[in-house]
Amino acid sequence: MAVQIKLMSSDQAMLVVDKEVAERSVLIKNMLDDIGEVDEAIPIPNVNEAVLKKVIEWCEHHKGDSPSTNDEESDSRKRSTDIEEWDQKFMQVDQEMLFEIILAANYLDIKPLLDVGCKTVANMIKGKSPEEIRKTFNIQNDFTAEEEEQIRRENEWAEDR
Amino acid sequence: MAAASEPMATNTSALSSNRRCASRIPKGHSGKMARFTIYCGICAAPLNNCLIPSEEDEYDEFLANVAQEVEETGERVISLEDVKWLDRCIVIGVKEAGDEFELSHEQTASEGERGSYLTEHGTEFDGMITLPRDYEQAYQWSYGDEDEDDTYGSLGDNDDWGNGGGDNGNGDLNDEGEYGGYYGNYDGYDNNGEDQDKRDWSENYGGPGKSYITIPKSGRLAVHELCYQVFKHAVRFTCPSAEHETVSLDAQAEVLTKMEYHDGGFEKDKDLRGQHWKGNVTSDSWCVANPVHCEALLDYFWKPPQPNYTYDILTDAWQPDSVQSNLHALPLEVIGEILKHLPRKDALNFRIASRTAAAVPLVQEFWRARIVHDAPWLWEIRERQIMESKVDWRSMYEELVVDKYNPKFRGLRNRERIWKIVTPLAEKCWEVEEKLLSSEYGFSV
Repeated sequence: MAVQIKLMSSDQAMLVVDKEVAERSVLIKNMLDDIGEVDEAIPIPNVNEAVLKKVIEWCEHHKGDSPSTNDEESDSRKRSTDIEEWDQKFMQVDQEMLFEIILAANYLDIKPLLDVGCKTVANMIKGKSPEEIRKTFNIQNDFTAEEEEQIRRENEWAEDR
Repeated sequence: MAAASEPMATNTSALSSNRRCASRIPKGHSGKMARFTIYCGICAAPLNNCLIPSEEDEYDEFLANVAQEVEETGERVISLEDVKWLDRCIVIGVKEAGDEFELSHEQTASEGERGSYLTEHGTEFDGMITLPRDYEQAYQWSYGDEDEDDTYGSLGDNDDWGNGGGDNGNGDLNDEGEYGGYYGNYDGYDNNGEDQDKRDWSENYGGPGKSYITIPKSGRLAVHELCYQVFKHAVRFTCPSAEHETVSLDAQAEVLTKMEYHDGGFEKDKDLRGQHWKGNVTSDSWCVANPVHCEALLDYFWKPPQPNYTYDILTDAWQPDSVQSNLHALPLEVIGEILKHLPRKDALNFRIASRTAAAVPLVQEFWRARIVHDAPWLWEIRERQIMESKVDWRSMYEELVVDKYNPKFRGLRNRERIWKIVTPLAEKCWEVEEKLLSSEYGFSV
């Protein structure tokens, strides 16, 4: 039987997971490496139960992934920009949850999950005008004309030539 | 399938009935050193080096033209060394039943399961090279003493045997049997009075010295060895998933030999046609510059720009996006990650849309990601071939990607052009590969 550990979410929910699954999180892995075996639940103070469950679901699905492919930049466009089908479905959540997952992945140091999250957000931006992007993320346009001009100037590299 | 020895006509009846027009060496030009230029099925540049006379050549007018050109353009003349790669060609093809074609250097050909093959140095054997299907036709060209009447047929009295590409370069034979295509031209020079000198020059400039190339029928495609290398890079780049390694030769042959003319450089680079063989060896020469071992690029990578100053960022004035936005919650480094995944236009729009995004410092890693994202043809970056640990990626991005028409890097400009041609072909190869793998018999030809 696989070794299991307990995690305590910010809203005091206890979740039991295989150690191998939990160690997709570099934060948890390092912690376990440092303290050895523990009976008590490891507190994850920044992540609530719903999000933590979601993150664990992702880790379970990806527990077999070889860690080396996560950091290494791929030679292939698909592998570096596309999101695999399962992950796409996984990320079909409301925006609030999506951002919570990204924050949790960032906090728990799960680089591949963070990547999937960032790519998902990037896909929500692609092809949109600034105004459409603001609408998508509920951003108030409070730039002054001068500020906008300054941003354009500083981003001339992105203009078509 | 037509008999293998017969050229197949697909687009005009003139193609099959006008055999005499198959060879386009004009009367009086079939003797020594007459050259017949065919073009790479991928990049559309000649399959031999027809650009510059050897250094011993004493063609004053040519040299004067070049000098004038240098003065006008301020650019360096492309060197013979730079265009040597044009001489190295490979043939990819599929053997078919009843195929009379045999490789004389069979040991150099690698073969796929279906009998698709890839030769090394296609122009160095007395074999056959085909052009894309729409334009297949038998061509022969020859040096030496062959009977020109038999071999070359006749051309109109006006000796109008080849247009240098240009407007009518659509590959069709007209009623007079004159070939106005850009696949086969006698060096592509317009044969009018003012180009006479250039033609004399080209006539006397020895080609690669091969005996002949025959282009008998479909099922084969001749391309530059280096264009094929660019294609292979694109194949790796378009790899659809981790399970795949590379596409089989069969899939490559299936796609490349069935390429329509508009898949190649011919159609996409209309404005290029004829330019480099009309004598411009400076500003137009980028389209025959070596696309793999790019001029000046290796040196550049060897000594990449070093970071020596900080870029202006908005962080001083940074205010987060309004609290009702979900973006408000994300730390700047995460927004930075999102920016890395965006094409540059979208990255700009995102920064205009959001205070948070506008405030993200564009760190070196961002610029490196930009190069990988915006210029996938710079495979040296993707494959981490740069040894320097400190690189000013922003400068590199601006110098190699934004300032893409810098004559210093003309080989790179050509690489970009070829990359855009081969990427869709590479994608098609993966589709074909998948079909091949999913079907026991694999193929519908």
